[in-house]
Amino acid sequence: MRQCQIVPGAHDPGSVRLSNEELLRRFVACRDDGDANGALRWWTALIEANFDRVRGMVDVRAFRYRLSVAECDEAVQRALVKLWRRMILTFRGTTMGEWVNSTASLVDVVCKDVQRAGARRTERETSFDAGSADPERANPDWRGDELAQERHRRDEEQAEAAGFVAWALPQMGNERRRLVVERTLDGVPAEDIADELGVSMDNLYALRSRGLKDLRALSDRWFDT
Amino acid sequence: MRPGIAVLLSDFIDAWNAGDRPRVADYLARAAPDERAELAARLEDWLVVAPTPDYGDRAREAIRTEPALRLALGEIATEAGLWPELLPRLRERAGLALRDLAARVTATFGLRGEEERAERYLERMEHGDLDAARVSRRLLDALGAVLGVPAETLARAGTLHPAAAAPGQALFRAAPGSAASFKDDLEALSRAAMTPAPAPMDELDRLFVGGPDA
Repeated sequence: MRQCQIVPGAHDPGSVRLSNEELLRRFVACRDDGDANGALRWWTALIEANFDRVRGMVDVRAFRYRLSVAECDEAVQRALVKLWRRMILTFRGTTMGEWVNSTASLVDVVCKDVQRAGARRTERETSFDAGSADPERANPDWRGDELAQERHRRDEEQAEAAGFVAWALPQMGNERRRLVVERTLDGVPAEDIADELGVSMDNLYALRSRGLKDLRALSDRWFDT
Repeated sequence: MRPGIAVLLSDFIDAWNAGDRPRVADYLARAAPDERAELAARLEDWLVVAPTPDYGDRAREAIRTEPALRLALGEIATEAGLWPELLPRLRERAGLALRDLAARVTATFGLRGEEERAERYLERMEHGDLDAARVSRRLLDALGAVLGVPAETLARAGTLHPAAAAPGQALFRAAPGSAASFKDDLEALSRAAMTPAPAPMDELDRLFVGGPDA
């Protein structure tokens, strides 16, 4: 995965520009040394850098599961606490690709929990398939944790330093889509990419959307193999 | 006329990369109702691969003061270890009642007849009432084997939690009523000195409160 730069905050006097991967490494090192305060420090920096990503993942599911604004806020908070617990207990990944995928699956479980709790409160009928009557799903949160962890174990074998994006970009069959996605991931605005490629904005929008769809399909291959 | 999915996705990406902290919900609201599910899926794809923006000072400060983050950090800081969170779930996953687990432990260490005491100790572990630093590695090995997790995970869950925030500064001036308080302390120490020493630990005590090497 790409090296994502953040600047830890002013409350962190030893701050330097650190990548997400470096924050992840420092968290794991502190955790494995039994240094809880150090682990929390680097975890907090990692979460601050990725708070919007987590909240965005919650927002997507809030739409799917019809969560209220208050339920959405609750889901973000619960996701962060669960993320801390999971990372303290079992996270063995080393790359941001693993971390992001693990976080996505955790967010999904949390949002379903929040939706279910809301449904119980209001006695609404729920429609998703994780019914509590199924004994194998009696604790869906745990099951989700387990599945995500199993995925990490498989991922560890694949997660080379180059990461998913470095692997995926050359796999993209359509050269123009690949270029658009690559420049997008570099943070280049749409207008600039359109200028570079000499395409209209409408074409650029379509190439960007389809390119990300291609990347997602490759992501499924990468993480499901 | 509402903008199409590709336009909204692209706008979101540009706002994200610029560090403007766009909200998914806002963009979904701008989409045509029958296109929102598709846009949500595309936005999710982006969030999985998106680079972390180079946030400005104001954005970073805004993130730090997000209520959900502050509340989560507050909750984490007050957690007394993760055994109350983890142990009951592992035990339920293994299909064991507390007394079953106690029976397994006592059988492992040849302590038949001590099941009730072991159950009380295990209950204290699950409630977070037992000092994790004093639980023996032998016991964690045995529990890990029964519950299907590495002993290291159990140890970490019990002991790895952030310390409570240190007080800003200590005040060394005598507070009103300190003389009486000092007298109370002395009396408490005297009573402690006169109290008979506790009975020596037996094997079960050593497992639960004898320290890591017991």
